[in-house]
Amino acid sequence: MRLAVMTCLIASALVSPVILAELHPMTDVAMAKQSGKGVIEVSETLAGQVTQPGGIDVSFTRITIGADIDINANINRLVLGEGIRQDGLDNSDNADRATADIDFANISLGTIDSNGVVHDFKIVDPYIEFARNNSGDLIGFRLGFGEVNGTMGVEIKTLSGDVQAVGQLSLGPLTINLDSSAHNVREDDITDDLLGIDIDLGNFQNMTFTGTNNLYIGLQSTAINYPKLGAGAQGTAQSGFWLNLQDGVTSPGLGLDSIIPISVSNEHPINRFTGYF
Amino acid sequence: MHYFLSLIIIISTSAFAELTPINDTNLSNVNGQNGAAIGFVWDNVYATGEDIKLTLDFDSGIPLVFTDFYWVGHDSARKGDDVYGGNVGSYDDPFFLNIQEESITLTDGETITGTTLVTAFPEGSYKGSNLDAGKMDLGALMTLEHASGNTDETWLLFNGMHLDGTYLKSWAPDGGGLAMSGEINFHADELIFQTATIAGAPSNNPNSAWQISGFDLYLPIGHSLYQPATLTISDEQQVVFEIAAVNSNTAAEFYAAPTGSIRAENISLNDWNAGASYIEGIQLQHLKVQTHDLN
Repeated sequence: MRLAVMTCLIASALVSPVILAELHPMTDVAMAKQSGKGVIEVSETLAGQVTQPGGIDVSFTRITIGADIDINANINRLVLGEGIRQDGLDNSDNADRATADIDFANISLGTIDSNGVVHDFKIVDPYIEFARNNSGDLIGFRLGFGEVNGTMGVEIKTLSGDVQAVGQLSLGPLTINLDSSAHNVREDDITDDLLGIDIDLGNFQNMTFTGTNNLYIGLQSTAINYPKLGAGAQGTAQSGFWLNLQDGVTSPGLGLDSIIPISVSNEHPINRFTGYF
Repeated sequence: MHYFLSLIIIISTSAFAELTPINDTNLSNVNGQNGAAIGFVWDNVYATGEDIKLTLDFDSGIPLVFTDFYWVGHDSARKGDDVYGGNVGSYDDPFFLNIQEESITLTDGETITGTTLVTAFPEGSYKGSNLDAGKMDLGALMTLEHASGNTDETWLLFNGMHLDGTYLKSWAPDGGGLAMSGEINFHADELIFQTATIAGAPSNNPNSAWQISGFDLYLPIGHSLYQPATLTISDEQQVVFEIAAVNSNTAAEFYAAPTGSIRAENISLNDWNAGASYIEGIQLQHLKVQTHDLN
């Protein structure tokens, strides 16, 4: 063991002296401030405080991290809950697309403009929350965000959740807002609330989030009403993976072909440098 | 606390024969020539600590307590006489520290050079095979004592895990400070979050746990020399972690690099089987995380 200690000391001495030169000891005053106070918050929602489907008792424990997250990223594919659902539910018009609860492709968080300036997608106060039944069993889990702002590009193949978004239909100089919603498992359409027109979710490729709150993705073994956070609407999360996104979301740039299915619009925001698409 | 550790340092005997004292002048000139590596093999290592208590006391007044810690060989007993250890690295492929010169030429022709300190798990004692030799089981009991008097107890169980291929590089950039980059390679046969109020927990009862099987995470964190990650404390005494933004001069290297991925072969929660889930092709073009007080 002495040999090991000696060798570790030798290894430490081999570290670049330039690197070591940049390390400074913390003062007692600075050290005293490193308690992490208030950065992490644990909160409990007691059984009975949130009315549940079927009247079951569910308690919640939420751990929130006080953080501002500025991110610019690309993700080729996000697939959650792939395979045949235990309850067999499927609301997709196209069975080939309904292979997962949530299936997103070509996701971009943030944008890169024509001058090469990177614009971030901003997330505030992420949290995780666990749901337990009265036996103490874990029956649900969600990852949520206090607030998000920015531009997200996405090709939605299938969606399970409560989604309310404003699709902005461009007709020349005229823009018409289409309040649209989807509230089901494995949907590939979103429905215009006024006219009842089904719009393929693949058209909502350019999503702008403005002060969006109450955004979460959860996994539940049974239907659960999570505690409501923020002003955004929230319904009952169904079994399986579930997205709640019902506040401050617009999708600009929809064309007529969005509601008349000639072809799928391609208004995906740019989030790569020129020459690297 | 019980522990057993056999640490083997791999340095050739001929290398020992060449060791001579180094004076201050020569020492100051040591800047990490390639090949100044040292390898470690953690052979038959395990640790169990029923009496260890790690308490994170938040400002909300609800402490998060970790107890009953164990780190043992895969499928070893967690307590008692049947505990045996696992290995990290092998004689051919050890855990290692290395100092190496690196350089990279950017799109505009600028060449960045630097000396990096590399700390790395072995590339392949498990990676790419089904061998259990390099796997360990890690677990702890997490207890939350709420103000209401309620107590949440959850076992966190990482079964058959390894970090083969994970590494961290650090270097001193021109502007000062300490820059880092690395890759996380994490595999676990099972990740289990199980309520402890269920009789006999931890157990293999799938109806009482959130269970993720066949979990793999590969995530590059920055890239050496051209996309540094930094960890600093702000003037407001908050933690700031940042991965530098890609720019038009570094884009070619960045887009040619491997992308991150996360995969779970199956996820089940209580009696709901959700099937496979995965995230592929993750590219972090910029990330800045700054903590703030919630209250």
